[in-house]
Order: sequence, then C-alpha cells, then structure tokens
Amino acid sequence: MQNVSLITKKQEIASLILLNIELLPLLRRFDISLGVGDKTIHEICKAKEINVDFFLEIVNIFHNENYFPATKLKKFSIKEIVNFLKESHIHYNEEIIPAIEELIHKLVWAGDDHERNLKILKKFFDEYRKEVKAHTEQEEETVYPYTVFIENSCIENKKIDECYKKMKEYSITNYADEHNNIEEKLTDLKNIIIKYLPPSQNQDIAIKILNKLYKLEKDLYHHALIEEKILVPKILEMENILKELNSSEKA
Amino acid sequence: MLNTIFIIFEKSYLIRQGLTSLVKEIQGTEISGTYNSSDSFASIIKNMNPDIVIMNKELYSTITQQTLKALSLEYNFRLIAITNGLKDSKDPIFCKQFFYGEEKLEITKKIADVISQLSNNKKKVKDNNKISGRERAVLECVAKGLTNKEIAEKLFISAHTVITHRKNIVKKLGIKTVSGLTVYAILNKTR
Repeated sequence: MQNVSLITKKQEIASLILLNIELLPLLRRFDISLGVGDKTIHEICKAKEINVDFFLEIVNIFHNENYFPATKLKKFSIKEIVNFLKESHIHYNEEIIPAIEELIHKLVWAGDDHERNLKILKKFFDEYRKEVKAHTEQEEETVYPYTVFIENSCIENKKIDECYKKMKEYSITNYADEHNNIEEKLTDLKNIIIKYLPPSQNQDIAIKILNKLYKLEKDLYHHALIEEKILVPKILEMENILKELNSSEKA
Repeated sequence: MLNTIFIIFEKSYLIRQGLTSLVKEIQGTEISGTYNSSDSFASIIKNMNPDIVIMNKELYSTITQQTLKALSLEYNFRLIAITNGLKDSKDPIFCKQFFYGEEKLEITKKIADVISQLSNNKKKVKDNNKISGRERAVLECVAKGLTNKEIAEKLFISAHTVITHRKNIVKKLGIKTVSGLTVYAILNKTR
C-alpha cells in the first residue's frame, strides 16, 4: 500500500473536504449538510446517529486508492451497507447522470457533421442512463431486500423456513454471476470524446464532461467493490448458516 | 527497416529464376519461397506472411477469388499477376500486372511502385495505431449487431480470426462495448 493516510474520527469534517474535494458527494449520502463549523467527524456522526466507524471506512476507501479492508468492512451490518449503496444510487441517477446528460445536450461540435455526431452521442448516453437505471432498480427491488431479509432471519433466528424457500428461488450467487460492469461504457465514452469526436468549439464543455465521467467512473468502481467484496461474501456466509440451520431443524 | 517479403507462384522454371534474380537486385527485398503450383496456397501465405505475392494468372484460376480476397485482407499482402498480356483481363485484386515480353526496367519499376505503396501504408498504421482494412470490415459488422459466427461467414474467415480481430480493435481503439464501437464506426464512416 502506498501513500495511505487514513482519516480519523478526531479530524474536523471541514478539513476532510479541504483535503480531498472528491469526498464531498459522500457527505450527501450520509445526509450531512455543509456549514459544519469546526465539528469533528466524531461529533457530527454522533449528532446524526451515523455509525462513525462505518463512515470512516467508507471515507477512507474513497480517499485512498489502495485501501480496502475487506475483513473490517464485513463487521458492518447489511442494513448499513445497503443504505449507503441506495443513497449512492440516488446520487447517480438523480444528479450525476442528468448533469452529464445536460452537458452532452449543450455540446455542439464544429463541422458539417455536428448534428449527426451529437445525435449519436446522445443516443449512446441515453442507452447508458437506461442501463444504469435498470441495474440499480434491479438491485433495489430484488437484491437489497433479499440481503436485508437474510440478515434479519440470521440475527433473529426466525423465519428460517421462509428464508430457505427464498434461497431456493434466488441466491446471492445469482447476483454475483449476473452483476455486470456498468463502468465499461463510461470508459468508452471517455475515449470517444478524447480521441474520436471531431474537435469541438466548446472545449470547456467537453472538459467538464470528461471530469464528470472520470469521477463517476471512480465512484462506480468503489461501489461495485463494496457490493462484490463485502455484500456478496457476507450474504454467502449467512446463506450457508441458514442452510445448516434448516437441515438441523428438519433432522 | 524490415525487408519486403516476396513469394512467387509460377509454373515456368525460367520465369521463376528470372524473377528471383530480378527481385534480389532491388534493395530491401527477400524471397521467402518460389512455388510451381498454387496447391496449399493458403497455408503458405499463413506461414510466410508475405508483403508481396507474385502469381501467374494460370495458377490463380485454381483458387477462388473469395479465398484470395479474404487472405489478402487478413494477411495484408499485395498481389502482382503474371499474364499473357491481354489488357482486358485486368482484375482489381491485382495491384499490378507483369506481361510476357516486358523489359526488365518496366518490371523493376512496377515492383518499386508496389514497395513504396506498401511502406506508405505501413507508416500510417504505425503512426496512428489505425485499424486495418480487415479490422474495419469486422468493426462494421459488429456495429450492425452481427454475431461472431455471422461475421465469420460473411467475411470468409474463421470465428477464431474474428475474435482475434475484435481483440485487436479493442486494444487499438480503447473501446470495449458494442455500442461504443458502433459510435466509433458511425463517427468514422465518412472520414
């Protein structure tokens, strides 16, 4: 691990944002508004009833490229993790992606082909928006509720039968197998704008789009990492426990 | 710079020997094989990967035009025909023709022309990391939504070759998804 500088709970929340502006979107996802004064991370989390350890781990993952303490992260409850993932979805679907879309609409390229090029680009991004929407909806409607249900049954040791039935219909392994990569199209779009679109007169808009794509791509990467390395293995463990419970109950 | 690699397909021993000594006089050339028939033409091309293939038209008739076209695109070589001199028998697949009764100077000049075309082309490929003609054909099929198998059938190449081309396209362009490749294909159509 190189250059890991972990953020601690005694640090002021303002210094966190001053240190790395890319952490700003995370505040939104934890429902922390600006105007934080000189409060520390610990103080804010306490006031907002946020699990400070969870907050710190998430912030540190996004802050340090190579930091991903899987074992530590597995301690946190599915509910906490899923809540964070859901908040991220809202941010992608309602803010980041519409903002990029708006910029793409503004973009008019020089040359005779500009209208045609713009149409193609719009269509490409429109497809992408729908893809992300479908992806996140499927997770919110099927995957996340399933994981929360499994966790509850596991903790309360209740509804094992029902749980087992559900597991027969759907298992987290289905999700792990199907979980597709929604960053690929973003990388393609970056390449197309950097290399293949004819030069634009609106360089500032093109640059803004690239900046936003870069940030979204990075965010999605961490997001997928949390899903695949934390959520899936955790649920897998629980599924196995439940299977054992079910068979011992029947015996 | 690498040598330009020649292969000669010609029935007549005299013509083979004559052409060999003529090509050897040109700097930066290399003859990797001379053959008196076009049997196993495809496998020779695959193994030798030549830049220029000189072939008598009589032998050419035993190979289908489709095979020849597919091979020349895939392995990116130029074809020169040796012919009896009927001008109306011109075929676009041959970039030059040698006629019986032609003088040395004319033949040397034709070879030099083809070599310079070739090196121009190669430079372009190197400079821009541009996709080859064959790769472009594959790309257009991908953009149209064809499957690997359909592309293979359409372009007379194996599915394995299609996959290789697709890998190279992705590597050269930095675009992975089908819809991204479609955007690229449309943007570059008229240019």
